[in-house]
Amino acid sequence: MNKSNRLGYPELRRMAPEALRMIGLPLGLADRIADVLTWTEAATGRALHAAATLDGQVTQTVVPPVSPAADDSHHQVIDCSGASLLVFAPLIVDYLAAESHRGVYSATLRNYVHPWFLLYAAYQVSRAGYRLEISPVGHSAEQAHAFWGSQKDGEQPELWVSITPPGHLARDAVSRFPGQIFPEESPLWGAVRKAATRVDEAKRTGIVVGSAELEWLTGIIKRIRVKTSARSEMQAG
Amino acid sequence: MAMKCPVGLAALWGRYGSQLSLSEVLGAMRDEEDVMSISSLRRIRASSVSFGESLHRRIAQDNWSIREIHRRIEVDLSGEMIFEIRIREHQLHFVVYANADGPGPRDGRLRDNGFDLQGVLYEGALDWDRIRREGDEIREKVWGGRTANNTLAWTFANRSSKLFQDLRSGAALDLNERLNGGGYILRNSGAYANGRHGSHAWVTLPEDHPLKYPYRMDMFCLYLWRLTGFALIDDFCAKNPRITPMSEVTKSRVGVGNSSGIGTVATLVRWPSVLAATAFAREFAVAHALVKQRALRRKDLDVITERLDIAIQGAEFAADRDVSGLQLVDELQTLRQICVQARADSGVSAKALIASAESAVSREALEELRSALTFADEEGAAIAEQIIPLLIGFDRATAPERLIGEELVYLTDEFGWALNIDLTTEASTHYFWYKSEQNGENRRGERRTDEGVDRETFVNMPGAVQEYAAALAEAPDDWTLGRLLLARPELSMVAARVNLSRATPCTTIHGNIIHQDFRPADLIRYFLSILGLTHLTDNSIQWVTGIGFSGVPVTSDSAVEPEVEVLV
Repeated sequence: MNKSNRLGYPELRRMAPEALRMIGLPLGLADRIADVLTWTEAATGRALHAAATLDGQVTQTVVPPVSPAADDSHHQVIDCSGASLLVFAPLIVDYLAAESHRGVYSATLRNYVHPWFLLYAAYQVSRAGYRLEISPVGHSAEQAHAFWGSQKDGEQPELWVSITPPGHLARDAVSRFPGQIFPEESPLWGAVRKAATRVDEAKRTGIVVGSAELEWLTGIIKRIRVKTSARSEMQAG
Repeated sequence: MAMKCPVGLAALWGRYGSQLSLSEVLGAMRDEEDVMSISSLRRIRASSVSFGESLHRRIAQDNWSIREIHRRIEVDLSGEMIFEIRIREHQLHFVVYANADGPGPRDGRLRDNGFDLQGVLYEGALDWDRIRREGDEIREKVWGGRTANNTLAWTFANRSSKLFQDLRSGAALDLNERLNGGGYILRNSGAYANGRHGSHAWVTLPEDHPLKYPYRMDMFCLYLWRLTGFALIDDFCAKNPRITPMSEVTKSRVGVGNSSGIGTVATLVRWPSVLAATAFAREFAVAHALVKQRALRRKDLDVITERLDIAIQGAEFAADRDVSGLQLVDELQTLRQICVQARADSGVSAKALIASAESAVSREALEELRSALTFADEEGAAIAEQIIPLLIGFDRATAPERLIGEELVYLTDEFGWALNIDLTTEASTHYFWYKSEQNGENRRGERRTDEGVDRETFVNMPGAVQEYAAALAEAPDDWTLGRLLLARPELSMVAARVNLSRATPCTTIHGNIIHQDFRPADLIRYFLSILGLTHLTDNSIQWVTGIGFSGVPVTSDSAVEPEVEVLV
């Protein structure tokens, strides 16, 4: 038996909501972000570490209000108030996907942390038939590849996001997983492709997590547990 | 309102090439409101769609081989046993680590850190080094242990304390008399098994893997515990000539015990697609039988009668709900007579059989008959078995482009039952679910008395729906759901659940689970029934016992070879 710090993909998915609640996410949000956390940990090995950095912050910092402001009818500026994209990546991309049906096709994303959670949002929205592109503003293609590949804290350039709804695309241009080839191997989609491959592998063989992350995870989910008493023991059944 | 057709069912139906019409089957189903009320769910009984039944069919159809290849049981009942399982090209081993008795009977609750028996199911060849190391891990660390990715399950069981007390008393004992009415040798509190401690969860197994099916791994572990119990008893009898061994007939009556608490209620709420799959598939199987069986054959009625006999065995201790346990036995006997008469008359349709029963018995007994019908309809069982993974496979995505006005209309139409529940009284929000520090065991506290409300487990779907409706009503008319959820991200879960209900019916229990009058046992019964357990007994309003695989013939090869190696 080769015992390691290996979690089954569904095992992490089951633990994730409670961990996310304990870092301050509301119950109804934690359930959804559990998918983001699990997929991204499998894809990049950086999700649990990012979640742990949010642990201990006040709720308003973990889930600040994020509100879009219109530059014009086709462009939004979204200031994330320093929020982690662990929490907001799918919400922002869903919002832009919805707005794209009315002709709002682009946004500038600023003041965020943990950009690698956008890989999950891009993957999901492409499965629904949308075409999404995200580019770090002012980066060359080479720099953009490095940006999506690094998954490191630090650099947080403004991100240019464009999205096109399914009906506006030629059929062969729609990006869908699994098995279809992305029409353009942009830096973002190159990273998404690698991430999706790693996720498929993790579903077969499990997710190897660092000792510190595993210790943090198993510790934080215990915080949701309530101290026991003779009365409490009677409440089990 | 007729039952809605889940997305993808028409295509599934088409693949079977049934002579029946799908719309006719859907038309024979009860409507969702009727199926999903708490009282209706409570009455549902094990059917051909139950997870234990579909496992048993698969074992028989695919000729699974299960052989006991090692046994070492000491006088104090400690030791090890190993079963080898071969399914097509797959070789699995089930290793049982038996422990001596503790200072007292073990409850088998999640809070416990000691069990009579600990089991490991893994895929691969016999590997004594691994078996030794894994034994150390599971015995020493129990809930905190970790295993390898080719482990399929860790599972736990306890011996029947009464039975083993009698066995060890030294007195003569005929097990055929003692277990004439069924019962169990081992019991397991919840089919705690797969996808934990680093084991390989069923959902990520290869598509053609024989255990890739919802709850199949859990039920297979229960099945293996039943065989383990027989082997333990055989071993005991071989060493104690005053004990008369069980005959094959007795063994077929004896199942594996199970007891479950309020955590199962939280499970039903947490996994709406599982709820939808199990509730819809069972209703589908009943409806299919009603439509298909225009003239029940004698062998069909024999199958139905056998199922009623199992129900009769278990009804005596049934809770006093619609009817008392004794009255339920009488009513089941009445149903049995109706079936015997139908067999004599010949040519009776399933619909006519149900019509006769409706006027003679309570709804509680009627549901036993409706479930029993499904055992006599192989085609319906086969299709319903495939409906379950179809529905469980739906993910909980949102539809961000939907306009909030459209969502509010849908919510009002489809979730009116939730919007109409008054949650303003103290009684209506009396309870909350929480996890205790004792290994996370689920418990139900009183909201205004107990600690832990800030960490409560989600079970209040009506409350979530009401909050969602209020937010939809307050938001500007031109907003999309995507815009609303960016402003109110805490509504993401309920929005996803409502969206799921567009893909499949039966996603939500229609009732208030946190109300003072709610009895958790009502939904625990439903959960145990979808697993396939019978002989359900309310030990309290939040603790239900049952028996699995009672009436199932023993299929283990039971060939014990000489000890290969002693572990200690």
